[in-house]
Amino acid sequence: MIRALGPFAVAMLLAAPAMAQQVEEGPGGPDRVSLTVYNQNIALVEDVRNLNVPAGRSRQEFPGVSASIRPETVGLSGRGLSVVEQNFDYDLLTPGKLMESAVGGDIGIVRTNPGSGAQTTERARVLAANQGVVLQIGNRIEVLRDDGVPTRVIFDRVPENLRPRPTLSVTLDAEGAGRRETTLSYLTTGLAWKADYVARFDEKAGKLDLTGWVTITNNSGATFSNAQTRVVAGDVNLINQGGYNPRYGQPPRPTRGNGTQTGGQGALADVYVYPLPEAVTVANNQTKQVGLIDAAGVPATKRYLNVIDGFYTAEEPVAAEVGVIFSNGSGSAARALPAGVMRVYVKDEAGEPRFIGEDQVDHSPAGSEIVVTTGDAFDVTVQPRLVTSERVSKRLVDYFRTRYAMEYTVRNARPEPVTVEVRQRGLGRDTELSEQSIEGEMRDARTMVWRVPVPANGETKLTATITTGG
Amino acid sequence: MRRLLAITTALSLVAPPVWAQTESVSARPDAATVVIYRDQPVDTVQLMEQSRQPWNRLDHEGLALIVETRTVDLPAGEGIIRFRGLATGVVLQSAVLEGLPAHVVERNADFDLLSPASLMEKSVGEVVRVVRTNPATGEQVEKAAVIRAGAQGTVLEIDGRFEALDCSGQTERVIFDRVPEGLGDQPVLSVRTRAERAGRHTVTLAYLATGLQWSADYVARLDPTDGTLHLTGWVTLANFGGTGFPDAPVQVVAGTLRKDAGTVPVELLVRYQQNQCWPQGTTTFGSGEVAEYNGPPVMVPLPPPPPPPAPMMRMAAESAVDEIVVTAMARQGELGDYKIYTLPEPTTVAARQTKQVRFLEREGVAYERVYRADVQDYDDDEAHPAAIVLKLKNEESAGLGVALPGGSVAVMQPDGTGGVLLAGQDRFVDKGVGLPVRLNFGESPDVQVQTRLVKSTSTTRGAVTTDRSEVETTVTNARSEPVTVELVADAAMSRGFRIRSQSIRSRIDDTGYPVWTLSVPANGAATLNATWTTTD
Repeated sequence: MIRALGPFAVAMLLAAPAMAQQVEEGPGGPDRVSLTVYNQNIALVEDVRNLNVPAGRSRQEFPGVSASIRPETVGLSGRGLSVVEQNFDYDLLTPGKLMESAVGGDIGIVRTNPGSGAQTTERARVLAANQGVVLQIGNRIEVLRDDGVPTRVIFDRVPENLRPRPTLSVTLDAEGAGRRETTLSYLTTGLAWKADYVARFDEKAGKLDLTGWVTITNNSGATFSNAQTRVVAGDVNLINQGGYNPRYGQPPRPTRGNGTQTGGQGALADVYVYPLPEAVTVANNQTKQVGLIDAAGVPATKRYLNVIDGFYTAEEPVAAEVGVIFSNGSGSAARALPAGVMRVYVKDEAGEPRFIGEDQVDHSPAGSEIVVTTGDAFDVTVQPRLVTSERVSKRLVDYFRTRYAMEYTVRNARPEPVTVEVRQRGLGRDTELSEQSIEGEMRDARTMVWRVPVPANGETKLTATITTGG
Repeated sequence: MRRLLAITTALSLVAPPVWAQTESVSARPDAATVVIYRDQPVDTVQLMEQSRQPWNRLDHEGLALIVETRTVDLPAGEGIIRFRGLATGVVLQSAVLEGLPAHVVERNADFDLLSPASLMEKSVGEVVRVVRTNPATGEQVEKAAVIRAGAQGTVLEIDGRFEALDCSGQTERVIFDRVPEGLGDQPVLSVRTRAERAGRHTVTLAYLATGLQWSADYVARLDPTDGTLHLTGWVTLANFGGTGFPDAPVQVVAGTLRKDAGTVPVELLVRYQQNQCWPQGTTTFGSGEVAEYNGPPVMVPLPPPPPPPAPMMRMAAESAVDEIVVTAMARQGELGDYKIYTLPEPTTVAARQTKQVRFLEREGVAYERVYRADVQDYDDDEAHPAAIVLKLKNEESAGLGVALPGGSVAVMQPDGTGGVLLAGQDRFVDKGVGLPVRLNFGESPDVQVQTRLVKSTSTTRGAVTTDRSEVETTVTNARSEPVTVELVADAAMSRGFRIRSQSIRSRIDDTGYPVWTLSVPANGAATLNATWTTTD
């Protein structure tokens, strides 16, 4: 504000010194600010101000910093400046505080006579402000508004430490007086970002169009105007993160896509940095979205999957999961994708795009296989049946070793043939497969996988005999 | 002070104001299509019960895609288009905007609600006017003031000195010149655009919203004379949000879709004014206030919305009888791996309303009524009633063969005097074509099952113990017609289960379990003798 006023206005302000010293002029704020927002409800703020610093020690205030600032992370740099101490004052200005601070001092009171309307002004000394306000007026002791008569209280000044918003102040030791650029950097909570993707999937063509947005949410209490903003994908290690955590109670998600290509964006210290193309205003209590990716014609396939945990009979057929699978390894999609939510649309019979489900995607380096599970198929089901289970050894050490004969009925009510991936999980050690009606594979030591072709409007029975455990 | 005010005013004229960008507002959609999804099974009765609880959060549950057609004025150069009149449960980050020939620089959603507290809080540092009324003369005095502190008790600067608002006992009010930016009565999507030419365009704005749900309910009327039933399916639409959709094409999607936990409308931030004055106790009147609160502003959660008016739930069965001819039917289509039902004509989904539309009408659906009971391998002290099961096949040959979205079924049967009786209710999950449908209707006092453990032996060879059970199960039928009873061995899932002898041959039925099927004559009894072994 002072900067915007120009020399003339500054002169004017100096002419009214009571004003200028006691209260900050307007909200104030940085000249230039850059923001680096992380996924984990934290952001790095670099705040550049052109300060006129007198030589020697002086106290500088930095209005307009984030209210969720973590004061222990503040760093200040500028030509010939060294920091003596820094304070983060959060004693807020309220009427009560104002009265408390006036105890022992003088105030003005204006009484309005309820009958005549006449106003009388007096000076009073505040003796105490406990439960009620006790005043000394001349040599009379009175309680403020003892008679209920409307009485205005007029304070001459506001104590320096009481502020409308939490304020950072720094005591500086400067070499030489003069205007210089000062950079204040700090961490603040209340800022987080994620990606929001829209995938338009064309099953017939086997392609999808991908649009992505960076979504920044600001609950920090401060508005960052015209901020050079970048977002960082990848989780940095944080300790003692106080305050609001949007992922509180959710399990940590350290998983990643499996890509091995270099990502295209600025990869830096094992995270990816996405600078927004231009400066933006990140307002408080706002969700802001800026374009991130726009890729067309990405090859994509659909997959039906059914995972069976353990060996049992399901009384009812279980719907298969539908997933859309694509890779961010080629074409316009060849780039790392930051974690977020992907919403999938397909066209309905009238050609209108319709939402079919959404799923989380992890931070995915370029070349990752990305699986977006959209929901359960209506027409494709799997029903496992435990045909027999038998002990295979008389030895006690093999007590748990069991031969399971399984039958999986895979049904398809769609007018085209489909392939369903059936995963049998829950295998123990020393797994042996003695019979299978379709060639499958061990996905890992605990999982068998079969890709079961099912004709249109038909069913396929897959049988397998597995000896496992012990 | 006057001088200072003059400077401030001049400043706001000289300094380039932030709101200089051309702004256009799209107040409401021209038309909207509503597509309602299910991310979990929905039970109509439970939903209605929930909706009567004043603390329900149904406006934050459910999921719908709202596709709006809007006419917008695109400003040339840098511009902002504000989309107002969005559905109350809008999930702003899901918005998809199409048909706008402009570069979208960014989109913003502000979630501060306009309230006395937010107005005051966001106006800190602004110049306002304070009007005081003299209680005796009625004279009003207006003064310029700068707000120095906001929502936790207002401190004003007037003529270079400081006063608290609303602590004097005098009649005071504050006049603001404008609403601070970002405060509104509802969520607004603001899109910052860059375009070469200005123009009027028709755009499509699609977004996800919560507060809308649908459920399926069936009424099956049995005709025991020929073993067929008449099946009617109803879609119930429920809008728990605050936005109505007049004359909207409505579609519902059957099939469970995946919804992310984060896809919820932003919690609008409401701040409550706390008028905190200094201690107000006097010698004549009590001791004044309790302890003062000095912490950060308290964010009080949104008060629950008023309970919706009692929904007009009609007994589906009745309307089925009355309105079969007049009600048009929803049409089924395909959407990816889901079934999508398009309501026959645009309908009005009013705020806090439920609505029912028929989507299925089938006569002559073959059914089988059987009884089912478990067979234990221990002595029953007394007979157990058998469960009543209604079996349907979702196949064309059985008179069905259509997608059946999961829901509840009310089964009606003739009472013998020309009326109908409710035989029972059950639920099933989504059933595609070709799948069996089983409905359980409680237990029958007329069909009783009792098991006697005839012989039980155990042999151990090495570390293997084989248990052998021989049982005799007697089924009695007190009905005046023969019944079919299915018996399932409890031990069927035990390791090494093997049937060694049986008086009736078992077969694997569609539940995957071996089943003994007995025909029990009217007012008679039937017996199953079976022996099985399990190994341990």
